[in-house]
Amino acid sequence: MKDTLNWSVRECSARVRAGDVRARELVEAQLEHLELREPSVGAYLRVEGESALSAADAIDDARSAGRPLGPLAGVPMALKDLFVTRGVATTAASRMLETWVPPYHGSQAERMHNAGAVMLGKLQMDEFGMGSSNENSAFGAVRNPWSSEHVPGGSSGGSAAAVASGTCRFALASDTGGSIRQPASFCGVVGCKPSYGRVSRHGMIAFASSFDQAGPITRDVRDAALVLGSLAGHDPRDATCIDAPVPDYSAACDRGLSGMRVGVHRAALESDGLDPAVRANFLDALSACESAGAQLVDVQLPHFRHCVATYYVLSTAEAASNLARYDGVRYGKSVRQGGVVESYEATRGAGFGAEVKRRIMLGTFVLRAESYDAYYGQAMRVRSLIARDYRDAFEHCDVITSPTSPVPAFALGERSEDPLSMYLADIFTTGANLAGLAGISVPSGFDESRADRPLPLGIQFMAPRLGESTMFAAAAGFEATRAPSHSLPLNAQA
Amino acid sequence: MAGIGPDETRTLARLAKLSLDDSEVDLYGAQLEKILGYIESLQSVDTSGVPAHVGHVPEHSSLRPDVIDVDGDAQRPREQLVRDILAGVPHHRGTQVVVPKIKDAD
Repeated sequence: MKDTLNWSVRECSARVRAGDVRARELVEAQLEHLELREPSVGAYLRVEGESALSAADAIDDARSAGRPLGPLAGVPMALKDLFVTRGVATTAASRMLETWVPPYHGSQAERMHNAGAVMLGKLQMDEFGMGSSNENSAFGAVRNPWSSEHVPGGSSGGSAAAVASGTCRFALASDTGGSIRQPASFCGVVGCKPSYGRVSRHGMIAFASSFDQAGPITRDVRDAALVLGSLAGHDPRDATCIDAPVPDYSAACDRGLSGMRVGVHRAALESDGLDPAVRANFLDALSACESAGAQLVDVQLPHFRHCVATYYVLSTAEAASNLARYDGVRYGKSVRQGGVVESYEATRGAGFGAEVKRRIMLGTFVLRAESYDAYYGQAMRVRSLIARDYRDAFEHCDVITSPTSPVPAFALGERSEDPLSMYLADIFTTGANLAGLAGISVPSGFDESRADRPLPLGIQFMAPRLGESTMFAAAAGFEATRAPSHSLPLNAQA
Repeated sequence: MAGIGPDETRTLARLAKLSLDDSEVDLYGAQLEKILGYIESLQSVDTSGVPAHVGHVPEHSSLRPDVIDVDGDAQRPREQLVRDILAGVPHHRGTQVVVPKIKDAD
């Protein structure tokens, strides 16, 4: 059997299309590896091996019949479990949806299918996307493939851990305040959050509708560019999805960093809680950007320090509203007790986990009449100022860079009793969601202070709305400067 | 500064339609107080004359014809679609969704 596990998405697809390998061979090898590696990671909520093999056979049959194959033909991949899949349980890692089997495909599953990708299964996450460690799943924690005592990040921890441990070739995930980029950084892989409206949200279980975006987690930047090319584009079923052409993101990766103006918000490097190893790695990454021909430009983001507070007011308000639909009547968990209000309360009390309840209550607080203007209204105005700051900064640069996370992956249980400390770790990622911008996390090195188990670090490049091509050019240019000192942990640690 | 005592926490839970036990009331009350203390920093931002952010409005709204087209799957017979949807409904009689009682008989 060919050693296919090290092949990129590009190579898998190109070889399937050329007939060098059958899609079935790729999927069988992937399932075999998954069986060995997955028990020590716990990235999957369910594996759909039989249907994956049938889908692979359909690709092989199509090739034999001379029919055209998609750009992701035969590539084994998996979906964060908030992407709705017809006939396959979709839980958002919540007891509330534990037994729900959707009657329809969301646009993300549909587009991946149309591009020829083969879905292996559904991936772990923090419940409804609420968390930064994947410890908030109702169905158990995920372990970081680099160190089983550490979290993989969240909320797309399962997606990042699966890609890093090689149990799928790429994953689709979602990002509301950093949920693609932060786990990608913690797991040493690439995570891309497109501009708001670049990708349809139809069929993505809602957390905060003005923030949520779907995007790929991959092993390298070029794979992310290829996958986003198949995921992005107009969808009449999502009224916020932009009707704009999808550029050739793969071609953009060839442009590199030469001549690019890379913005740096130096004041953010003085933030409380920025780990010294992260800071040192970021400064080293900046030097690498310069060596690759980039021009570093200092930018000002005067309201940057208010991003996290603004994000938590607005995203919880939207969550409180969105999650009102889980009432135990039309689908999902149902506890009938007394009248309608008692039934709602009992259903929601039993169905939601602690973090979801906490955020619904915070959202309820900021939306109620007596605090609406002081909290929700004020946060909406500050959001305008934050968006304006980024608009002004992009007058002077092409991309803005920062560490993705202020800390490397932390230990399981280390922050789970202190939600505020968990929220503050979103400092570098929430800005892109507040302003609707594109952002990508790229591996930038390791925290070598743990000699036995080095933990990956990531750098973020943000670009203006619909500036994905520029973002990919910078990210691929940076990636080319790095020779990873450690290989992905495809095999279980000793 | 917003104080979140047990009564306030219970009020929020009632508004949010969440049943909480006493230990949850104590835990969430303390955590919300700490989080709101942090969020309070937003009050220091001068927003006079600043409009509220109303979303990243697309240049052109993405409207579609107002017709029923579940997942674009015109092949699925209507009866099958109804069966697939009802399979996820917790309580139903025939094709009717059974809702909780909303008023007393008298």
